[in-house]
Amino acid sequence: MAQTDVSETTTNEPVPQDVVMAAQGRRLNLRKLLVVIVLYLAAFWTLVPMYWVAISSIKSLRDLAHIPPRFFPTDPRLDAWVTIFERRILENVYNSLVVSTLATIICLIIAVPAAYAATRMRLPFKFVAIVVGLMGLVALLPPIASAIPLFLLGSDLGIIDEKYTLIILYTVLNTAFAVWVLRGTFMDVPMDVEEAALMDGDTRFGAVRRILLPLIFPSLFSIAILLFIFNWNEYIIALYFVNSMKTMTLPIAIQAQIPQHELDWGVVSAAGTIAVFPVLVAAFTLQRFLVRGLTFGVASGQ
Amino acid sequence: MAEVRIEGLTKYFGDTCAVNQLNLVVRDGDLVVLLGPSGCGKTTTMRCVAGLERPTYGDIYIGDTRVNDLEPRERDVALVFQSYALYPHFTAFDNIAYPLRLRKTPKDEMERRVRDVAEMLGITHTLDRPPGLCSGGEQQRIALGRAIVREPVVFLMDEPLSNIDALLRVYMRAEIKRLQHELGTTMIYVTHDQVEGMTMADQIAVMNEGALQQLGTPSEIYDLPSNNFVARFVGSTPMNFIPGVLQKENGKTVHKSDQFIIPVSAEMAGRAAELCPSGQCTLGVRPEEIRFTTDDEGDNQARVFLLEPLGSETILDIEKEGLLLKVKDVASTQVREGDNLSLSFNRFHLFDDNTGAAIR
Repeated sequence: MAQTDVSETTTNEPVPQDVVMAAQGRRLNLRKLLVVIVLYLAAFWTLVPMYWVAISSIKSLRDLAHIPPRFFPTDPRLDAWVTIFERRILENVYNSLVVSTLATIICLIIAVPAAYAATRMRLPFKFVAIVVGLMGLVALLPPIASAIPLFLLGSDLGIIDEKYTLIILYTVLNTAFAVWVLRGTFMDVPMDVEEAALMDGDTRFGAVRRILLPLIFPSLFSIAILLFIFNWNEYIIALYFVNSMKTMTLPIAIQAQIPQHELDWGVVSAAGTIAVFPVLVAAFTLQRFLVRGLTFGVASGQ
Repeated sequence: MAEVRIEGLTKYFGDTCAVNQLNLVVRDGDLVVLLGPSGCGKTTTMRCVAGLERPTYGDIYIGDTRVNDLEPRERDVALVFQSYALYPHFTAFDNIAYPLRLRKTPKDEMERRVRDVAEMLGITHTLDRPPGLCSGGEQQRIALGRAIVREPVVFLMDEPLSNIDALLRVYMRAEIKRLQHELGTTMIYVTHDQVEGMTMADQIAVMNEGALQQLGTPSEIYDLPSNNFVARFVGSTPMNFIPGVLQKENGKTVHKSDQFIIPVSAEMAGRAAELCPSGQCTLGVRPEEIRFTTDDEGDNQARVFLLEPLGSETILDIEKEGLLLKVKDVASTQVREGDNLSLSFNRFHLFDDNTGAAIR
């Protein structure tokens, strides 16, 4: 009796659905597990240096010099932090904030209309291809290649060591990149939606402001944060154009903590921790918007 | 409400001619369907009327105004897009209210008009939702609502039903027609679906390769196609075409092909002699205009090789010497595959092989 039962299930009936699903589920879970392991490794790889910098800023000199390295400070102290604030690091933070924020905003004010024109105005294809191609080239150019000529130009004009010079330069250097990325974003929004706004009685400018920009806001915000991080981290151009505390941005300030003779790693680490903090905040915000950007359905009806 | 007049409309995209010398008058309050295969210029024509494209040559009038140089917002026409093009970041209410908002309509009036339209379309329950959370049919109605709410002088519809499922489409096309009748607003409706065209239109404008082929009522288009393109394009079971030549036999004119000899009336023969002196012409006959008897004798014998039962009727696929004919059997006679039939041709059209034009 039992014999026939078995033969029946194996020959006549198809394999039950839940068995199939379970088998697939097991395979999927294994893959998922691998992915999770790799992600944890990657996260560990990225986070350890940050952790290292952060704890180094509160380590005693003995801990700092200890071999093998200590992952937990035995005698935490705030000496380095006191020193770094005494050296007016907040002024550098202020400089970096002003330069990065303004350069980001101005860059977007220029790049949004440029990208719009490149995607929506039906300019001759060759013209757009050449302009956008050149922009891509500029975006790929290493900053050091332009730093020296720009410095010569700046000193001729007498605008070295001014915050607005940094703002102008950062704007110029990032605009090509921003146009590139925004162009892709605009192309993802169907023309129909904008045309519908025109038919409903809106002006072109109104359609962009009320329909297109709100639709791409998550992407726009992500690009803004990326630009901000670029500006915040910029070192090479600043190295040439910063001469005094008046303009000194954070990356230069960190470097300035390394004197010729006695090197206090604690102070350098404290400065580094301060520099990383806003980037971390930005990255977390960015992540939220990136997720939203992916799930925000623009196409309708299909 | 207004008449739309298109005079000599020509539109080039680069070197490609999308619309060529189109003349069309849409009478006030009419529903005109622009019908044609994809790439025939129907959508371009409509977009020129909308103001989304500028004509290369020609003039467009809405009412008495020449609108060539007017922006879309200055034309007071509403367009329903194939993709609906709803604003995904607004609720359904805000989608419908958008045109009113732009016209600075007072808040209470706007509220009332949006609700009226929503009620008319049966979408009141969706008003608080974004379009992404509405079904395809509901999205379609929201798009219609957005067009209706501002009471434009002309409605333009760009294949609005092509994205919804077949069953719903049958209802929606009746509903759009009813709405148009109720509102009495001129409508230009673009479609490649000839059934949609036939069922909805007051007038059909059949287009091909950027040119108007025929303008007429659905029955004119069906019964009196002006050329072989129109004849081929219209009709859900396509017209049969039999290439051949006109000849005199025993003092009577016949259409002689490799397969059949079909007598032609004296009247038609006279016009054919005048319009198509070569006599080279193709005979076109609709599937329901072929009569058949099941005797083995008689003229024009042919064999049934396939039956296509459709429930209310059956399509007989008939073959003779490489020529395929589709014949509609509405009387559900007991024809079987392999039977020999004797055919007679009730009403047919002749098309000049050189020009494709109907001989009439």
